[in-house]
Amino acid sequence: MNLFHFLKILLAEKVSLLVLLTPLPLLLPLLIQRRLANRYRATMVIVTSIISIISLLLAVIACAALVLTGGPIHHEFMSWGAMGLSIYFDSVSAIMLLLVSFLGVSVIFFSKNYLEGNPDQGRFFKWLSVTAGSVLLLVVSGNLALFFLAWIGISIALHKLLTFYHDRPAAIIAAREKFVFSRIGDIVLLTAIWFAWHTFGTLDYAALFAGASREGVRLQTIDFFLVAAAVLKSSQFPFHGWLPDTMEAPTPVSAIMHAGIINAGGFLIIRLSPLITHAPKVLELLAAVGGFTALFASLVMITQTNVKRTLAFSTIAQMGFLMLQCGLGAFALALLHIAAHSLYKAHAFLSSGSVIAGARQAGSPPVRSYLGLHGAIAAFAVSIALVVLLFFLSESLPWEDSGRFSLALILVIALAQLLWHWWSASASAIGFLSGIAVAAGVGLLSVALHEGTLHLIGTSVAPAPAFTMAWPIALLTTFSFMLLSLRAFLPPIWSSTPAGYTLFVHAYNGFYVNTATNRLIVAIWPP
Amino acid sequence: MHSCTSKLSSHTFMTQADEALNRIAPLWPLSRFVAVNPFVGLSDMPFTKAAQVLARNASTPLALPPSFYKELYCKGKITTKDLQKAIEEADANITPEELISELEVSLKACMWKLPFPPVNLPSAQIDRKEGARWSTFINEEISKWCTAYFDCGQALWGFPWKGLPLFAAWRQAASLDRNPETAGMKGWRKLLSSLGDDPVQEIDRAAAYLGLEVSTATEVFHSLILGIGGWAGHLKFLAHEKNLQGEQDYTLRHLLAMRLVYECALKNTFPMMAFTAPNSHKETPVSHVPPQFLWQRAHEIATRSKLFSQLASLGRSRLEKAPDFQAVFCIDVRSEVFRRALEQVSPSVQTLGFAGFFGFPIEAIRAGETRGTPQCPVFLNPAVKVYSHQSQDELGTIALHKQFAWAWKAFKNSAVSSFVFVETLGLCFLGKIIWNLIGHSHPKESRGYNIDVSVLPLETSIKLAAGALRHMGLAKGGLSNLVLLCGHRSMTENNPYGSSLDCGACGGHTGEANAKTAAGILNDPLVRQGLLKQGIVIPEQTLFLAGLHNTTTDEVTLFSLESLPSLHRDSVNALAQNLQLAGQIARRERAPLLGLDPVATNLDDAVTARSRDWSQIRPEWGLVGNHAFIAATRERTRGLDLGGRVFLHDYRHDLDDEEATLELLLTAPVVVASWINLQYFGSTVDNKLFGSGDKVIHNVAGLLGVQEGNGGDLKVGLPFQSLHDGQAWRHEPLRLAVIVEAPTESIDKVLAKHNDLSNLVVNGWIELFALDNDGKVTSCSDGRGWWRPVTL
Repeated sequence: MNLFHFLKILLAEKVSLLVLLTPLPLLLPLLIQRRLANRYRATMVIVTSIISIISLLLAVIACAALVLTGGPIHHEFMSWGAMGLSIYFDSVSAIMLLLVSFLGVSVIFFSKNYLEGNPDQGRFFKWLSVTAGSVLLLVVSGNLALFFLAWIGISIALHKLLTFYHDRPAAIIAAREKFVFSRIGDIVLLTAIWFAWHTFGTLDYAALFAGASREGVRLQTIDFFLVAAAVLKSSQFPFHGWLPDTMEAPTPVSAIMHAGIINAGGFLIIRLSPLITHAPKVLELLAAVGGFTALFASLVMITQTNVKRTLAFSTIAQMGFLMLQCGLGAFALALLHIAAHSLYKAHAFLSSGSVIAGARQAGSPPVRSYLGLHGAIAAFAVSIALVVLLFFLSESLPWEDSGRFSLALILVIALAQLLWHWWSASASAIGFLSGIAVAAGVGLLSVALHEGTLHLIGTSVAPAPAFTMAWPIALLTTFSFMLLSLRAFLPPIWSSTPAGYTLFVHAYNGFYVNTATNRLIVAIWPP
Repeated sequence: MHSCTSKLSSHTFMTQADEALNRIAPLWPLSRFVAVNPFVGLSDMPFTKAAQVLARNASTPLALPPSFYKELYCKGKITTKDLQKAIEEADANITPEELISELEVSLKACMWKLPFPPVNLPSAQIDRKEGARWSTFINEEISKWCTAYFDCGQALWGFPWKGLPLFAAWRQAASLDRNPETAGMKGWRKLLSSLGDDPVQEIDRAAAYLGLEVSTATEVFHSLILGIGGWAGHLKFLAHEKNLQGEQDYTLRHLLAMRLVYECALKNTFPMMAFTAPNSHKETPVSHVPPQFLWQRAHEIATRSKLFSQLASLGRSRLEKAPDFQAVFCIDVRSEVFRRALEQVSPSVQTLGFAGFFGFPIEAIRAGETRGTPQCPVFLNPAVKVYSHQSQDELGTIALHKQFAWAWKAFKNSAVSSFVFVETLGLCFLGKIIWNLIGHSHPKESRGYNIDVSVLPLETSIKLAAGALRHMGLAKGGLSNLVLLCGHRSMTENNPYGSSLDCGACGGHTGEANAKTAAGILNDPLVRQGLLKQGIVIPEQTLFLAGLHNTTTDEVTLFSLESLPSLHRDSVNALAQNLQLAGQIARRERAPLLGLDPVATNLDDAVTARSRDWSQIRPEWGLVGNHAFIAATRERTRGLDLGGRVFLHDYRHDLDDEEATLELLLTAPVVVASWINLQYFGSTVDNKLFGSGDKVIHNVAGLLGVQEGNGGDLKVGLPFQSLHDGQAWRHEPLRLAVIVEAPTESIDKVLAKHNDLSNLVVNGWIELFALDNDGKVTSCSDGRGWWRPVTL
């Protein structure tokens, strides 16, 4: 063993301690009594802010150390049977650690002024901190038992935030709805964990991953329950009803929920992708649920008339898309999607008060011309040409993999939409050329990010499944996305047909899922 | 509901419905949120009578809780003497001691006693019996469809029936809507298909079906419409806009009809339940004034007497010599602090108060736009369209920018492309969040105005200029070499209520366009020639300069400095310097209220940072504390610390021919100030009903209003955080004291001419005082020509 190697091992041990320490500061406020937190709320705000900064710094150092040591760091500090205090730290958890600790800092600093004067601000900060800490613990946990503990912790801390205004009946109903779905999700996850313990005799990630790659192990059941838990946690159809109804909590709660917590389901899949990738049927199911959720929620989103509800349905759609990516085996891209969506959505919620200023600034919309069939064909032709060119340049062709192929097709549709909107708003030579330039820029950025992500975390997640994903499913998904995008390309007359009317009313009501779920919850858990 | 369809020949309930709907106050959209008197529809009733109506129909005590008054009493801010005066005034049969013990009783209950149980609508009856939330559900449903119908661009896929009248459009949509049935409302779609498109007829049928009595229907309707008061307010606003164009609008009836249909559906859903017909309670005679109003009145008496002795102590403070320069500010109470600071810095300045549109009602149109919004008090129509002048090249750039911005937004928000947008560009928001957290947010500001007044019709310009100078009292000489016309604006970040902090006299916009137009016109040599013909002399060397006071940071921006005549360069520089110093003093004065250290060396940066902070929920205190309006020369108040709580309008009776200015003053600025005052009053005494609730859960709906939480009715009035600092109320509910330096006969002449105005006085919505030559408030008007002497 040479000196360098020795140093690396030493560093790895130190780093693992660092990683374990990252969530701890944020969890400490748990020890502070609510009454004390409120009485000394100014102090509480300062302390929590400092704590969140410490967590972020620890996360940054840990990530830097990971870059130096390379490779995943896996360390068990102690264990009692299935339960163990262990961490698993690789590029996937590193990215999530950075992301969530940054979001923690953001919402805590935002809430300082935003909730100033609220007599319950101390309590709010306590639970905000604990929520962020629980998500961090979830991210670095090295075994399923610890993961489960953090998973429940998030849900309970979030419940405290969602019921912050306990005198608002709608807040209570939504929180209860979330509570019920979470408990069902807990049972499902527990079942998966029980099966895993039964099959492998361990809950440790490294051991599980190693065990999964052995031939002849049947993972179908474990994977089904894991995926079911993820679906329940990440507000997939039809378990999404609570999410748009949680606007009764202060805006920063929405920000951390939509940017940090809702990802737990997606993270579960990505983290355990080496396990999940062995069950093609389950992945297909996940792709179907995710794809449907994405389509459904997108349709509802574009009919919503208040800012926060629009954002909520956008989250559901994005979570659906994330699950679709997972189902198609693009785990690395799914992680990119989590990170990008989190930052986007945190910003969108925190700045949701500026839409009026934005509308005032934008003034009246420009005069647009309807481009007709020729315009649509041109938009698609340019878009296809751009995407094909980009894939040739990147020397990774998506043809043989059905998953990547359908994602490439979605990129084609999106760029065609971009061109279409651009050209219809700006029907001039400058408009035509700048549209192509912007579409090319977006396409290039997209492909570059994909390549970069694969390079960065490709080894930390399971590669796209060895089997070929069923082409019919992949193509069906793409076709549905195409259908959804048609609304943009079709003449406006379409929406004034009886079918268009009916679809509008149903979509505007979120296809009544919320109302039905609400009614169910009030019936089983009366106020 | 129409199992027993009875054809009604005449519209039995229409008078009652219209009477109830007339009581609703308009609500301006957030893009130009101006203060509205929430009691405007009730101002033909005495205050106490209106309070009774609201107590009955909306279960509000219309006063802050007893603890508020208890604290004032303990601190000695209300004395037994004040209580005694209030009792005498109301002729109430109670002693101050009894009043105090009544307060103690209410203190235990934490609220004032309400004399009436709420109006028993079917929804309320079921809610009470079953512990359900039907009233809330109905509100959410109506609000859902109203938001869809009036949405200004939030939804990409908009409501398809926007072309139809509201009721018909709602009927189309709601007859496809399965939501009520999903929630448990039976037979909804069947009921909807049996309706016609005429709301008037449906109101009658529904009222008959619910068993309303003609004698009390007004109150039941009022209660119903107050329940959805936000949208009712929006409809009232649309009607107000049409009224200004000379058209009538009855869309409010549509809303009432919708509300009634939901009640009928509920009655159908619970056929077994024995509903009592919605009924209203007979009025109790007003002889007994509820104790909260005696306390409220005593508080007013105490505050007024303090102000009056302040005025009397000063008498008159004359300027020693002719002023070096003059600065005209808006009457807004926030100007008082700044004017005082400016006078402190530069004793040779004369400051004047005038409505912040400076008498120039314009429609200001930004570059690249074809339409603007009215920038004048909301009772007026713009007299002239003012375009922001831009070169052809710049216009081209603006148009392209607009097209690209639109297309990019469509890419960002559309179904499917939003997935790619988020994945490829989401990471950029990391930078945006960091940028915002460290306080470098980019305020979403519109392009400034570049106004060329020479293209305006000369006749109009001359007319407006003459009016402005006359009413400012500057038409008969007295103009100095440099006159600053200082409009105002606020600067806040991430704040849906931003425009509520802008200039109300400019229709909820910044005063920039008005100040620039006013200065431009008054500097125009052709206009000056025209004025000369009317006998108004503007000395050749007089320069009007446009400025803008940022009320959040107390900075003043001066415009058109690059084209200054060399003659004025020095004096403008001196002015700019004085304004800067005044700003520092004003910031120091406001600092403690914002929780900042007034003597800190970095105070200026701290104030600016606050105005740019996206998480700041209280960027400034707006017009909090306003309680009086003084129309007199500045000599009456110069040197007095009025605490930024008083509207100051300059008025010199000796310059006022035929009381034209007095008439204008009392009918426009005073009414606007009372709207502001009563908005603050309403939002404070019942924030649920007349205020917009908790900012922390605000949710902007349809790009025009705010909902709280998941949805529900539009909120009206001001947010809780704009009135309360978390420890205590920053605004104290006090009705406006209007103090005018003019002979009582002249005031009476104006009152006799304007019924609406005298109503405000007679019914106690404002209190009108006359100021004598020695600066003493001598008498108080009853609105009918009798003046009661005022003793301090």
